[in-house]
Amino acid sequence: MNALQVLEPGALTTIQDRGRTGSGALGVGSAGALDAASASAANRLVGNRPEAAVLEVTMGGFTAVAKRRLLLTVTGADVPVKLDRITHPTGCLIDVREGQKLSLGLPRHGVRSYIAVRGRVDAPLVLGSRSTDTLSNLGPAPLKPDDEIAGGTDTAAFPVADALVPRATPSSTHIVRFTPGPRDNWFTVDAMARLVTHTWTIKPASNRVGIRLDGPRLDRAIDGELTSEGVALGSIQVPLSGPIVFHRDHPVTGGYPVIGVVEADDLNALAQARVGEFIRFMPAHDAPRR
Amino acid sequence: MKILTAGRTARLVEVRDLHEMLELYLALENAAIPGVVDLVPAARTVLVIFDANLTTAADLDDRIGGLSLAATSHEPMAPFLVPTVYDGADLHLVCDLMGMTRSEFIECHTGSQWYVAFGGFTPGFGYLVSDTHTVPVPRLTTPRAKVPAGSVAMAGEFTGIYPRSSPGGWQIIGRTTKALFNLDADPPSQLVPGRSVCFIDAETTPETPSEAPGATCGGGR
Repeated sequence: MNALQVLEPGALTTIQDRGRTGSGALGVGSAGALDAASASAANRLVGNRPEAAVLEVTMGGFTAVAKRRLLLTVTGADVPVKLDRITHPTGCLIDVREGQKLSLGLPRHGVRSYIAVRGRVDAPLVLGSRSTDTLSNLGPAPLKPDDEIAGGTDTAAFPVADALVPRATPSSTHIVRFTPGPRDNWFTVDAMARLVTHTWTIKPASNRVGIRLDGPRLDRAIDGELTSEGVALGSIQVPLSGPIVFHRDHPVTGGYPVIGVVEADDLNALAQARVGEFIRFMPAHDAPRR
Repeated sequence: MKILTAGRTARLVEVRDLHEMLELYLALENAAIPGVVDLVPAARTVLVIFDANLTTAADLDDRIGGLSLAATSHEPMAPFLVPTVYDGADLHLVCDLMGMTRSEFIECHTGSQWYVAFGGFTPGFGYLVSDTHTVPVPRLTTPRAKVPAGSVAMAGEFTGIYPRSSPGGWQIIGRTTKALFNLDADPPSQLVPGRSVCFIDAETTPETPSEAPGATCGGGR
């Protein structure tokens, strides 16, 4: 049964859940919500199961009309939310009546908003997930004006909270912890020092595939080409054009050395980091030893 | 075998060469180690992704180190047959590189036993290798913005087939209409690691030979 009709999708709005696993050998990556913590909080608030699909809105600008009465919430970026003309905070339950218009403005901080609808956002399962993979074009297509979004009836317990405590005050410099390796030995000691002392700037080409960074050159200790190998989510891959932190739509293999892998928690924060903002890398204090 | 750390939920297992990688990959598949959620085979490595709630890196390393590679046996799958029209834009360059005429090249390419080493470039794509095709083919210096779906191309020691239209830097030797990726099939990709693949000259062999398990390429001609 349809839940919402899209009027304006904004820059990019996709359906995302926790992503797909087990298809790496086929060249299929995970996809899934970039800020998994915010998506999960949204599901918890409306009483959905943690694996329920939600909408991921990039830089606000999303408007839609309710096709029936809905219980929904908006989490993630600090974005103005309106129901018709009434403003609502993010992270609270919103009771929406049929015909009412939900609109997200331009985020004051952050990039990605998650709209969870009680009963879940529905779409066909593709290899076990409803997520859109923008790199391999798997899963539902990004939303367009007039698209109807199906809603499910799959719920967990009835909601027991009606609002979330906002996260810590956002900053324009994001601290990103990482585990060195698997190819940190391909870089000079000086390059590793630069990685953790320089304040990196997020480049405009950043997207669901990865966060691209501008900064000093990281010199190699080993020249030559690395044979393509599997890359983990959060890998900091270092081609000549500058480091890229692989996010959920990353290719499953890559041919450039990976100097370190970003912690899952900080990938959520990176999903909310804007172009032009800054990143400081920090080795995880209890990083696994090689 | 060397095991490297790739974050908190993945181990990168490095071995000597492609053959050992395939043995390792098949051994990992067969072992179905609890907590392992995905495997990404590549030229000399297998990335083992695990759920840290179900296992630890140390336990996993012990299990991986204890695998006996050569002992792994897998059921022979029917070879995947690829009827190919050898008329690619780069065919003459590849022929020159190998010092062959077009017909010699076709005979060599269709007579070679290919097998899927690994995937990864895009869903449905397989890096195909052959023991008899070892002359490395350089990539194009400027990749094409658009390579049509079904293009059969070579780069390095590999032959590959583009499952859908995409940018690409491989040298195109021909084309096929054979479907490679179908989400309704299980597995969705025909080119699973270890499967053998035969190319067939579509111009001289219009009828499709049998896809019997254990059949060899170029047989009967």
